[in-house]
Amino acid sequence: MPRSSRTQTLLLSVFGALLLVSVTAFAFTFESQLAWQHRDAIATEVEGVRLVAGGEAPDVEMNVTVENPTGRAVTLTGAALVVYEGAPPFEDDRQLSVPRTASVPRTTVSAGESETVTVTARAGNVTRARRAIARGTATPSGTLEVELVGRGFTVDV
Amino acid sequence: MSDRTWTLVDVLARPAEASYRRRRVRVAAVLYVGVLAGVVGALAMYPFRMIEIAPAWASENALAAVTLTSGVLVKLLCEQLRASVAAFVVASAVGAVAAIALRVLPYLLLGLPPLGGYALLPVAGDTLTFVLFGQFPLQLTGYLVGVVYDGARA
Repeated sequence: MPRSSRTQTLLLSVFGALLLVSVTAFAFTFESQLAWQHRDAIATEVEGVRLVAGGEAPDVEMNVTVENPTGRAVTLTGAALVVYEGAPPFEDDRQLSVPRTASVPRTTVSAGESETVTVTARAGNVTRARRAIARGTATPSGTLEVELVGRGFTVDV
Repeated sequence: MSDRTWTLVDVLARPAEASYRRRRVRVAAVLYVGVLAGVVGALAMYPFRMIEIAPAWASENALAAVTLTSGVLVKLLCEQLRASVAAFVVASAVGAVAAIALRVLPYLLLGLPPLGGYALLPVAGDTLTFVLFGQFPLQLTGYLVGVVYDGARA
């Protein structure tokens, strides 16, 4: 004995509600997944490497512009940058900043936007650093730590 | 209503009744309910699989409940037992194909190099494993709940 028309309509409404819930959950997750798989397109550009007065010793500061073409906001959470003298390949004896001292303020870059942040690191050999910056041969190299849809990864600088 | 006067709209509005009608009407009901359940299962299992990037309201329990309920509805909306078995088979096949297609879609949309399809094989294999051990058992459990409910009601 088949169900009544009313019951069938009710069951179809439940099916419709399930479809709506699953489509919505899928759409949100799919957009995040697209953004995650698009993360390699996040680009950085460094300019304005300079020496500034720090706490105990001068600091090396630089402006890093982060371009986020993905569909979701990204958050900068850390930096692992060292400023070298000259061009790659870099060697330890050409370091102008002290490794593991770079820091970046926690900054959110909205989807499709660019943001410029200031990265600071403690200067190593100040005289050498000042000379390299004046000659335009101070080259930062390393990564920025970035968070996208709750997952962390690094972007080359 | 005679079998000859059944239209597609009637099948869409009353699939449970259509599942008792002649072959043509029955097949339409089986495909309708089966495809719908397969698509719902695949769509719900996608965020379940990537729960860390899914919206907060779409919890694992909620998504599992959606998939399980879609299995129950296969039986309730394709009431005749043999037709419901066919609808469940359709739901499983469509669910598997849809799940793989949805997982591969970002690669195609972003133009990521599939290396002649080789890069997509592990993704497809991984998804198929999840369908077999996640989506299918949930819908099967739901379907069996529907069978038991209808059996108790008979």
